[in-house]
Amino acid sequence: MKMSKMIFAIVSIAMAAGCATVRQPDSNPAKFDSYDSATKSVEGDPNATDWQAAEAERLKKETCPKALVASVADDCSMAALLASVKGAYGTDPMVATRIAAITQLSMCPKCGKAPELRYRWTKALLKALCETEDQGAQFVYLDQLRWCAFGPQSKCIAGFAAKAKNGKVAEFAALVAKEVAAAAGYGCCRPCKCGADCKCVKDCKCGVDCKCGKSDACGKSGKCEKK
Amino acid sequence: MRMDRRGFLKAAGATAAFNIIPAKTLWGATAPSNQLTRALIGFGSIAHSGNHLHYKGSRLVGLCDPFEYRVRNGLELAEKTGWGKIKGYKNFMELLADPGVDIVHICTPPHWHGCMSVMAANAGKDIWCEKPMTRTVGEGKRVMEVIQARKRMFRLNTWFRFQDVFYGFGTPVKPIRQIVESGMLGKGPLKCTFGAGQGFSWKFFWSGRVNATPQPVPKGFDYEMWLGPAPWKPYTDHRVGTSFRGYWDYDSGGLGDMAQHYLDPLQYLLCKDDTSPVKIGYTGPKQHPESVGRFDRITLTYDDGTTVDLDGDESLKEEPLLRGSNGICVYPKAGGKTLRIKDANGWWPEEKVLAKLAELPEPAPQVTDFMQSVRERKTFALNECNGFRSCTMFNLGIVAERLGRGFEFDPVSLRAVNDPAADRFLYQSMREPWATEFMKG
Repeated sequence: MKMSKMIFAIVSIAMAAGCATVRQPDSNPAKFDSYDSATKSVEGDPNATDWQAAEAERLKKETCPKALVASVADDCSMAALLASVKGAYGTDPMVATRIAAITQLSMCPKCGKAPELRYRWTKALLKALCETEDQGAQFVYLDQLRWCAFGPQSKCIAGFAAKAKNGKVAEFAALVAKEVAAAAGYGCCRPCKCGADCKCVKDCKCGVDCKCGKSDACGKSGKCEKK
Repeated sequence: MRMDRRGFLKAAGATAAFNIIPAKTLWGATAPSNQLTRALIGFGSIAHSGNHLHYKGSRLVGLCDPFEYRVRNGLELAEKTGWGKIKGYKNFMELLADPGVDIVHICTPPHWHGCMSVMAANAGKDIWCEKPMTRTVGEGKRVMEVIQARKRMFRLNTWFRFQDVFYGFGTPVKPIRQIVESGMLGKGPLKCTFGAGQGFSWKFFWSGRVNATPQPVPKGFDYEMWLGPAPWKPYTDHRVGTSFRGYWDYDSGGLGDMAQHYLDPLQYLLCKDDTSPVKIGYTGPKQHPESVGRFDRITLTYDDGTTVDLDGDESLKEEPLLRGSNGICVYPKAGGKTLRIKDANGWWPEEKVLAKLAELPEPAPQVTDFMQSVRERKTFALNECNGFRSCTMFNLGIVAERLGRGFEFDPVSLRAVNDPAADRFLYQSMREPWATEFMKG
């Protein structure tokens, strides 16, 4: 008797937890077919335009280059920011926007701090990708790596793809690996030339001591490859 | 050599010219078997408009959509409209493989436009594609190459460069083109402004949610097919309704949705169909990584100094649509019969504007009937080349939004100048098998 009550309690808690994280399917697949429903924010779930308006001052303050660089001044704060990613879409929008802004700042050709930032940021993204169990968050990290990862890091990402537990994460990782390799092939030396003394590529220590993939995938200390 | 349907219709028309009995009578030009056939790929909200179900000179023969309810609705609507029982294809590949389809009308979200256009061209179809032509510059470049290599006819579903009143501007584009071509705005660069003040809305309400929750994929919806070349992300309903417009992976908000309507006619009236801006400026908030927000201003500058300001925050509300280097300005119509012109001495009287327009030569004629374009194999007014260039105008702006800053662009190499970050947005990968399909031909 006691065992069956315990099982019932466990199942009930599990179902309740499931319901809390996954909305029930809509019975009406045409829910957002009308312009009205498609374009309006709802309570607790605003659209980006309305959110930007509501948070305009804070957005401006927290995403200016100086604030972004200061917010990730050391590896711990960088890791902490990435650790606050929740699932594929559940990250606080200010955090998500700051993450995207740091990615773009790290690639900015006119920003003096960009090369060093990019080296640290891509390392941190790879580390977060390989260490998290949150498969939704893995999409988020990959979605940033596609815009900023260095060429040699494509091997790490491909290695991660080969070992990823979720097939769709693996598929996205493979796409990112291919895209990063192609982008690097076009202009892989440019980030090096803009001020990082090529440390980012020559050392090829993309952050996780190759735990995320094959041991020799990203451990080669190659030279800046001119195309 | 086996002749396809289109070749037969063309040959039949040519032969008929030599008969004593008029072709129309002999061949029955309106007979169903002589009409060009069209099929719709995608039957969402846009496809319900009259343009899609009816286009004179063509016969609707089928449609497909990843939502089963939309296929059902489409078939019912087609029958009520008078097309009888048309075919509901299992998917667009089956549609493309049907030799009975001459023209495909691509009515999907933009992330499919590039790949489907290439696949349709490789399948021997002529193509009518919804705007924007493509989601990225890289896709547009490829579509242009394949359409030309395969000698297919291609048109975009926007038309303001050759017909209709130009939105809130109040007049068609033709008189504006005449004014620009006449040189009366001066020899130096022009300054153009597009925003609410000039009669154009940037529709910032096309914006994704910032607090979504993954959901199970509903029954009767082929999410894999809907996504196609776009990266797989967990399903959530707001991403796939009409609201897809608010997500970077599929479209780019109001700018992606409306800019080809606005900027293609601008490109035409500026006589810049064969080039692109070299500098892109951006001011506005930083963007959410998934969901499109708003911009304050995007400035596109051409090599000759001509600038196009996309006015998002309405700070340029009082500006004219066009400001010439000699101070002559062109404004929207305001209750009168024509656009308005102002110079250092003030507003021109309406009679003077009308008299001036009457003396200006007509622009070069354009092919404005797509069925004629297909039958006679004549390039349509808005085709894969000028459509690529006008699409590039705002695709550059979208990249600036995502970068959160401006950059420079080379209109010949079609690459960003010393800016790998920009290039990564300009040239993006696709999921397989679509990446492979996209590179065929």
